Amino acid sequence: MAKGVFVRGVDERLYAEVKARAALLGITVSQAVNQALEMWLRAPPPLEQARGAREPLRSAASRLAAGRGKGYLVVANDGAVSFRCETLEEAVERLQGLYEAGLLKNSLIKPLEARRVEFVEVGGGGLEV
Amino acid sequence: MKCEGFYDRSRSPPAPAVRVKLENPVTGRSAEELFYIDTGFDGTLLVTEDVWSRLELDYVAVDEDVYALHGGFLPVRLSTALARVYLCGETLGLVRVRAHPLLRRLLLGRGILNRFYAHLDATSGRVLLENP
Repeated sequence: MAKGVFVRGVDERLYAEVKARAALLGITVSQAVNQALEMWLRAPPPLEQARGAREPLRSAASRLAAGRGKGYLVVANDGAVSFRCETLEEAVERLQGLYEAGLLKNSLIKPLEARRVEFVEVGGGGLEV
Repeated sequence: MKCEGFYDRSRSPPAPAVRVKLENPVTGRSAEELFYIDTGFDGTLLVTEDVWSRLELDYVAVDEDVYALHGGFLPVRLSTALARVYLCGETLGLVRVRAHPLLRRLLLGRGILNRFYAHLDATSGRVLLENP
C-alpha cells in the first residue's frame, strides 16, 4: 500500500536530476524513489562503509605521510606500525613478514607522490540492470 | 604462451570470457575466477566486493582516489588493492585490482588485454590469448 511521506532536506540539484531522469524514463518521481530505496536496501553495504574500522588507519597514514618524500608508506595495525618502502614489491614483502608472524591486524599502502584523482571508463558489461 | 577462453552463451549476445587466477601476495589466499573481456574498460581487473572479501584484499589495499565512469558519467568510487595475477599459465606480476561496489560480473580490461594478442572469434565461440 502506498504511503505519503514528506522528506525534509532533499538536495535541490539532486531532486531536479531525479525529476528529469524520471521524466525521460516515463515514470513518476515516487516510482523512481521507490526503486532507489529498493536498490539501497538490497545492495550489499559499500566496501568503504563496511570498513569503517579502516578510518583510523587512513588518518594515521595521512598524518605519517607528511614530509616523507617518495615511494610508499605502509601503515599497519591502526597506525601502530609504519614504514616507508621504495617499491610495492618491498611493501608486500614486509607485510607478508608481519602476516606470517601473526602480527598483522590491518594495513594500508599509501603512495607518497602528490595525490591525484584518476577516472577509468568502464564498459558496463559487469553491471546488471 | 597461449591460452583459450570461450564465449558465454548464457548471455545475450554471447560474451567473451577467460579464467584468471588472483592471489593475495600477503596472505597467499588465491582463487581462479571467470572474467569477461571488456575492451571498453580502461583498467586491469575489476572485481566484486565478494571476491575482494574472499581474497582478503583489505590487507593489500592501496590508498588511491579512483573513480569508475559509466558511459562517461556517473562516477563511482573504486577500492584498489594489489594482487598477483596469473593468466595463460604465467604471472603478470603485482597488478592493481579495483573493486566496484555495484559490480555483478568480473571484468578484464585493456590494462591486461593489451599485453596479449587477442583473437575473439564469436562465430566459433572461441577466445584465444597469446603472449607475443
